[in-house]
Amino acid sequence: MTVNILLPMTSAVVSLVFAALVLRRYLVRRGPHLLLWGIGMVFYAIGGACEAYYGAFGWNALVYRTWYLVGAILVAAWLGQGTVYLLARRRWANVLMVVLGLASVYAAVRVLTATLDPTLMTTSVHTGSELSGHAIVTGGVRMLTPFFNFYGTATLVGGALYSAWIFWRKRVLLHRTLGNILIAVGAMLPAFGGTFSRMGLPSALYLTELLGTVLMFAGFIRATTPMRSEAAVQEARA
Amino acid sequence: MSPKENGQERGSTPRRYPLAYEKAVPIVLVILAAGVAVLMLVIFAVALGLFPGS
Repeated sequence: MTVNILLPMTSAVVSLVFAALVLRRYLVRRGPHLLLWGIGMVFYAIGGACEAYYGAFGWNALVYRTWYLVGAILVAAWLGQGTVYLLARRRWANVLMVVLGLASVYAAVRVLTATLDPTLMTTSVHTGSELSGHAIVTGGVRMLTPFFNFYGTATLVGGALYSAWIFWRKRVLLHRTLGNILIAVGAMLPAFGGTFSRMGLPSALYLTELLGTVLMFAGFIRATTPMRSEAAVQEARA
Repeated sequence: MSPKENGQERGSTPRRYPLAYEKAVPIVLVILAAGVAVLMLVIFAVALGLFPGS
């Protein structure tokens, strides 16, 4: 089994477990942020599964379109939208959700109807061993990706850093400070990997995706689990 | 020191994280904020087609 199968497959499995935990938490606690994070991690898992499929079995147009739509365009923005629901006023979050929903439908139509040429992935700087957007021939489709990723990175990473800073400034809930830092780092890694891929340096993409999901998962666990010392203080106060 | 002053001093003791976190967290936050700023600029540049291959 090659690295180009193993890395994305592991990403997919970790993301799926992460999604299951988040969605289980949503069923107990509700809150649209948990639902959107859960959906975002399912997207992450689908993206990883598509990459593993390509590594194992080669080109398939439907798998490629699914990967580009879900894994390259939507995942960061939908995860970030969860953070918007957590931090912004509900009214603004709803407005942005409608915009994101409409933009996602538009992106789906453009990707599903785009003309594809898989040989372009091997004749450019890409080796063909990893998926990249170069197979899309129709103009304007790839231009959508940076806008979704800009929004996703700004909201997901920015929101995590903002939360960590608020907790640090108040010197409360250390586990949430640390958890948000891990989430911010984890969210930045695949964003860097995806951007490098667009710039013609694809080899880092699968690795940053795996490290990203592992760190975000660790951050989520850290943020939702009080540290021993904090728990002891809370018990002493009670 | 009057009891009031004493009380104020005791009451105004700032909350603290463990020392290692007190020092590390702000440094990490600044580095990450700089990192995300760079990332946003790169994403923006890619959107404008400023990089070859993009």
